[in-house]
Amino acid sequence: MMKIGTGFRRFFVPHSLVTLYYLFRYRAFVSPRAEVEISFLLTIGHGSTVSSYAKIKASEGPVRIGARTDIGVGCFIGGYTTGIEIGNDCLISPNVSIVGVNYRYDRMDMTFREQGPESKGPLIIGNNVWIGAGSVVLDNAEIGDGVIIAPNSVVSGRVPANAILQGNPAKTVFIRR
Amino acid sequence: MENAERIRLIVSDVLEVDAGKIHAESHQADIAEWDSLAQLRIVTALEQEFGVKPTMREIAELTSIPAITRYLEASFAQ
Repeated sequence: MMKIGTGFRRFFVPHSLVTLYYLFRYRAFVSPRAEVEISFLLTIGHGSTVSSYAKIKASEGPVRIGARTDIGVGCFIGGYTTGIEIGNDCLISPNVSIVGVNYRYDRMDMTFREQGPESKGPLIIGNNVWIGAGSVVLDNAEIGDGVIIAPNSVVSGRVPANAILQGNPAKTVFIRR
Repeated sequence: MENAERIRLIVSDVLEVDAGKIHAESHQADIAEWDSLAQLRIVTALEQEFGVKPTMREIAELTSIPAITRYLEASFAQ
């Protein structure tokens, strides 16, 4: 169930006000066409941009986006209690999903919805990470600095710094040096 | 087997392209399967086969069979 405060912010705070809030508070540009709430759980570093139709959910836990990081058109960033951290100078291409939560599925006598969501740990993306269009980064992933993820990859677990990944599940193709 | 022939077979194997389609003068631009990620897989295969370790700048130049051959010859000469 959506909390009353969250619902109020989503329905009644105009997007232009959200854009101005992040511009003046963080010197970050959030498109008026993006769906981003004004929340103390969301921080966006200076010089970062959030493009049109991107959605950032920070109602359940902290989402921290570093400086000079670009969030592309149509991205979804959904944090949960354990939080999401994205470093500085990252390039998040269009339609990337960063999902810091899973539904529980251990009970056979309940629906997934009834079992509810859970997170195994924080989702961390390092500095200077380039994520290709359409990729999905899953709960508890830890992506090192300088990583490149090829388009449409599905990433989970720990990724070493400077790796280049591709595929579903994403595998390391090369380590930059 | 000559180095050029070994390179040709490595490239065809990595790209999963018929070896007959790759010749001594083949260039990345001529082969659709030879994209930027395939390039890195080719380099990994070359590293395993010849024990070389090109820098990122050198990797960016290894975009044809002649370029790879020249790079390997220069590496072996050192």
